[in-house]
Amino acid sequence: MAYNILIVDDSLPMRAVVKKSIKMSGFNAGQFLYASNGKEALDILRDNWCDLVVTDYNMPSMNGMELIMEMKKDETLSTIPILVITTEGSARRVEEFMEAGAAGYIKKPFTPDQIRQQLNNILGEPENGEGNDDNGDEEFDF
Amino acid sequence: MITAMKSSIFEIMETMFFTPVEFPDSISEKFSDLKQPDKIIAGRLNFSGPFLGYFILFAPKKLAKMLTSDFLGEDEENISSEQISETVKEILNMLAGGTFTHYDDNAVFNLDIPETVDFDKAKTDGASPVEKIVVIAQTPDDFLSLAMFKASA
Repeated sequence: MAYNILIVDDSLPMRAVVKKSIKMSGFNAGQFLYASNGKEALDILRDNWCDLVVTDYNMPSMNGMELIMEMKKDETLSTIPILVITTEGSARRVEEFMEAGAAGYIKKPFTPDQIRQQLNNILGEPENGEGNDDNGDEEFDF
Repeated sequence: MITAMKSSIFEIMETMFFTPVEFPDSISEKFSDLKQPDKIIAGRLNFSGPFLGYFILFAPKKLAKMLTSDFLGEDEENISSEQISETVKEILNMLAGGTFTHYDDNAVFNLDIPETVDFDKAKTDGASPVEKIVVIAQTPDDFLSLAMFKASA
């Protein structure tokens, strides 16, 4: 099964790097969708099914914590797991993310191995032979 | 704090850019673009928390382009100035977050959105700092500098 992933980050390079890291990790990703803040992410999630949201914390308009809280209020969106990838690394902040309902947390800088480990924790280990095929997705366009 | 800044620079350059760094006491005049304002790109990030202040990152444009190329996995000739600017802001964001994590894992600092700024504005804008900490990092290609200005206790 290929998973559709929404990457939420106001940094264009970081969105590209997160996508590249997920692909390098060997995780079976399907379609990638992008948003530059929480508000855009909610709009996308209401129109598109995503299996996972990967979000930054520090963004304009609506930050990652506010996005988690909005998703948890929504009956449908509350079922989508959320992985937080951010520079905000204090123990208290991580605790806040997890209490708000994040399924996992990765601190920048990160490696593809850390991404794979978190994705496997959240969505389950891939079955034998299941890998990340090239899905023909265009490279990230700046 | 200076140790936290160095640890953050080391960790981010190694992990995200596969670039080793050293921390010399001074910059070689002959070698670096870092002392030439027209060849520099600067980023600024304000923060609040147990104390207020801001970070400034100075990087030679040539080095910033190389780092952007490494970061995105794109050839240097295909790198745009927007990509360089966005990458410098992201590097600064990671450096600031990493510095505070290394400094005090239990303290919560709020980071503003990073911005690129003019070289001169970066050095003069904002409230007069009460403390300035500067770290110079040397990569195989050039130097970069991370400065933290504590505005108030």
